[in-house]
Amino acid sequence: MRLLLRKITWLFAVLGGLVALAVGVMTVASVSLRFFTTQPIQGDVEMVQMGVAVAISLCIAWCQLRGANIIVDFFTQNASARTTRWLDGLGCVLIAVMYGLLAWRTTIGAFAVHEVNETTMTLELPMWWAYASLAPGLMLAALVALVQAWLHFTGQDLQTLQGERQGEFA
Amino acid sequence: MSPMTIGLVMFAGMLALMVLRIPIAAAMFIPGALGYLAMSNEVALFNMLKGSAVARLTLYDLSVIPLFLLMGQFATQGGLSRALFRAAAAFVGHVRGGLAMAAVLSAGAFGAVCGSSVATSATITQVAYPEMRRYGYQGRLSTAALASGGTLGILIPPSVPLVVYAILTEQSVGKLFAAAMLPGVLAMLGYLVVIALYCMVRPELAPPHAPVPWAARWKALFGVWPILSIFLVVFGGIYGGIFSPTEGAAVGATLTLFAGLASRELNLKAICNSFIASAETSAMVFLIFLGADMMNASLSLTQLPAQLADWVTHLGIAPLWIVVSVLVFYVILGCVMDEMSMLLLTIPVIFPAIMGLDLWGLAPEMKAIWFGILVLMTVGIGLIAPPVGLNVYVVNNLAGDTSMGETYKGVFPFLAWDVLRVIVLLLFPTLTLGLVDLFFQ
Amino acid sequence: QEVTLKVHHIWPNTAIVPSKVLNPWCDKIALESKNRIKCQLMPAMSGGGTAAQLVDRVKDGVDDMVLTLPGYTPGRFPSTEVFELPFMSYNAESTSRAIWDYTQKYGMKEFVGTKLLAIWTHDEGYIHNAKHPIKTLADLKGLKLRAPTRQTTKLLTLMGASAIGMPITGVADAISKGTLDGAVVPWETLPSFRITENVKYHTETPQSRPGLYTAVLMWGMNQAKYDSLPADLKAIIDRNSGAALSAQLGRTYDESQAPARKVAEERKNEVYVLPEAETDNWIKASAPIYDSWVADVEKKGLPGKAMVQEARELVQKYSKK
Ligand code: NA
Ligand code: NA
Repeated sequence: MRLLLRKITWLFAVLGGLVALAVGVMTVASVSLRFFTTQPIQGDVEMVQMGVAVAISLCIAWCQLRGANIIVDFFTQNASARTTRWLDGLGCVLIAVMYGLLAWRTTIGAFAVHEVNETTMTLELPMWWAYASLAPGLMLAALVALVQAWLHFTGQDLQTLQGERQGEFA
Repeated sequence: MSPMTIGLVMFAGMLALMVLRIPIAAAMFIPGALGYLAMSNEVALFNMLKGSAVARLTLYDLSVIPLFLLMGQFATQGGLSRALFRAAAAFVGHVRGGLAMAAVLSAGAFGAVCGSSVATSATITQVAYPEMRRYGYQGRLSTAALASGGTLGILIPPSVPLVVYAILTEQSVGKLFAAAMLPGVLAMLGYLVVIALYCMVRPELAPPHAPVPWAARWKALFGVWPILSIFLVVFGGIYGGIFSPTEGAAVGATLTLFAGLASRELNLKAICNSFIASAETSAMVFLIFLGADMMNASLSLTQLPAQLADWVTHLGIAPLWIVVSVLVFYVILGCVMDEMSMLLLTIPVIFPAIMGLDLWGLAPEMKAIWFGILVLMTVGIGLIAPPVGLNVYVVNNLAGDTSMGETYKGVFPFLAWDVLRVIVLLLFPTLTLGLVDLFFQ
Repeated sequence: QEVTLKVHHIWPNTAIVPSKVLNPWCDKIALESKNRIKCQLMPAMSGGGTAAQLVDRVKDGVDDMVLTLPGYTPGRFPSTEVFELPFMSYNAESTSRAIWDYTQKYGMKEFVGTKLLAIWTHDEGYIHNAKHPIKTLADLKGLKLRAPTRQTTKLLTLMGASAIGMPITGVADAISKGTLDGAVVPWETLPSFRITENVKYHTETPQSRPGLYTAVLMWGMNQAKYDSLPADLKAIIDRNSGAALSAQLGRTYDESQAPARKVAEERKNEVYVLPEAETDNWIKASAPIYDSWVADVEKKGLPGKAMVQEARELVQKYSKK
């Protein structure tokens, strides 16, 4: 189960990276066209905005899974392992609330802008796409955080979910 | 409760959660949301949240962050950093402390394509630290030079904290990058001088070795042309007006990908690793943004920032001293807090107050840019200053054979130069604003 | 009962709408209500969110009042967009009166949940560029111009120019670097964004013909908030909103034209007024934009032709005086 969750989260993140790269390549094409022919790709800015937003949302769960969210550990350096575990579990619950709230409300937002037929400026793409595309990543992140909280509270090893420590830093 | 009280309670709640190891994004988001509830009602809060993720994630100027991070990761995984360090070591390695200087130089050059200081420290440490140890350099000097050199990742553009500052204060990213250029190079040159002086006083830290023959030097120099040309295309393009910073980041990421593919170091696995490494950092930055957005929306309802700005402008203290106190406050806060969160949390509150002051008679835009660079410098200090310097953690962790205390001892001369540099930039705004004037008439 | 209204809008406090209309309006309301209504101003989007989200925020009660452009949310306010079609408006004041009347008839469905306090347009937008004087349609070919609205994007593309979308704050730099040749904006926008010193040629349309383009702006209040006010406070809001407020906003824009134009003249920039005959060519050339707009809204079940007709008649009526 944990391995599956980890695999899905990894897949989301790599997909996010791919989308960001695709946005980058499209921008390069647009810049070149503008430079050589004065006419850029129509709606390039909108595609960057939507693409990057989706990309980031797909990466959030991975960031959560890897414990990459910044915490202040200065004041709890001498706390017992038990205390730390409970505090980290609480942290996971609170951030799961944040992910969950955003996922839920963004989905409602998608319905709201769909209802009034809002579109983007140039390509006239339905605006609800931008809203709806953010929800899956946020929901997965909430799930990951809740699983982590459960592991913390039950005193289990997080390593099986998180994977081995990597040599590289971001 | 009065709005003022609600604002203060929110702030206190946030600090309490931070002390308790709650992720900073949530430590800002949860009290922010509760404060919003207290200031209005649940209908307003829930309706506001409908748009907040979209509003933040689709912001065009912020797209430079994932793209520049991707570029830095491709450069890391594509082995571009090794070529940089080899070239620098070939030229200056033989002078006393030369390998430490080479580490600083390659960190500076790497910083020109990478926007994160942690990534720069980690990357350069991996290629430079084994070499330094091989030639008998002491851990104290090696780790300190790498941790300090790593700050060039943000001091030299591109720079993630500078983009964050630009977004928060609605300034041009391109102009801030131009402004950071000279102070960044100044920082690098200063670090070289610090190393030279340090080794003069304590020669045992860095034993000398034989110079590299000139033929080998030219060969090593040839290895850096990809990274050099990428830098020239990206920043030439941005300042030449061919593209915006976001477009420049896209061009940089694409070119770096091709350079990595061409050098055959970037295979499918390395590309996936680049993706997930950038994923971690990008998401982390945006999450802090989302938390800070919630906090700031509530704070603006309480009108605390406006009142603070009003209070500061009527203090009757010389404006320059107010700036100095803000910077000192940042250095202290940076000792226990992550620098990015610090900016996101305080800039919306402090910036309006600074803009209300008369500083060297600067026009508002120039004042904003100048202050931004000063803030960036204090962020750099926070990254290496004890007790919590993120760069020191990273370098120490990777080095694995030097105690944290040793590194902090080694860091002090570098810190001294950092402080001196802030004072110089404070007194001579031209150093910061000269290039902005030049590039943007 | 004391009421504090959260007023959220897109401009910094120095811009003309807050400095000349909104902020004095708040003072006036406070005075008339003996401080029972106060504004809590959130200028320059300082309450969070995007400019496009303001219309939802006011409808949903996140903000109590917003001032923004309906055009930020394409597709959402199809009926008011008719005033953004090319060559509709002679000046801002008369068009603002016209759009107020027109919206009462055609637009109210689009503003459900929002009480419209004012709806207006800015003064006629013109073409300002750094490359060469624009005297005929042919001169537009290949020029890279920033387009402010959906309809101007279509117009410029139709006329052979490249319509580029970018935030107004980046325009001056883009022109100085040559990424952009110029911008299509009203006069007042030029000095505040340092565009005047980066362009050389300004092309106006003559007073006897409708101007090149305009954009619609709105000032809305959350309906439930309004309904919750006691009768005497409602009366104060009513007294200070509607056709008169809309016309005042339009007039404020009209009055901003001359000073901004003077800045350009003092810099020895060239201001060229298109002859009437040439303007008629441009108007003729823009006909397809009308056709596609009518087709578009008719797909949504709106009487497109009648709406254009009525909008034109109202503009004529108020322009004559
Ligand atoms: Na950098
Ligand atoms: Na620190």
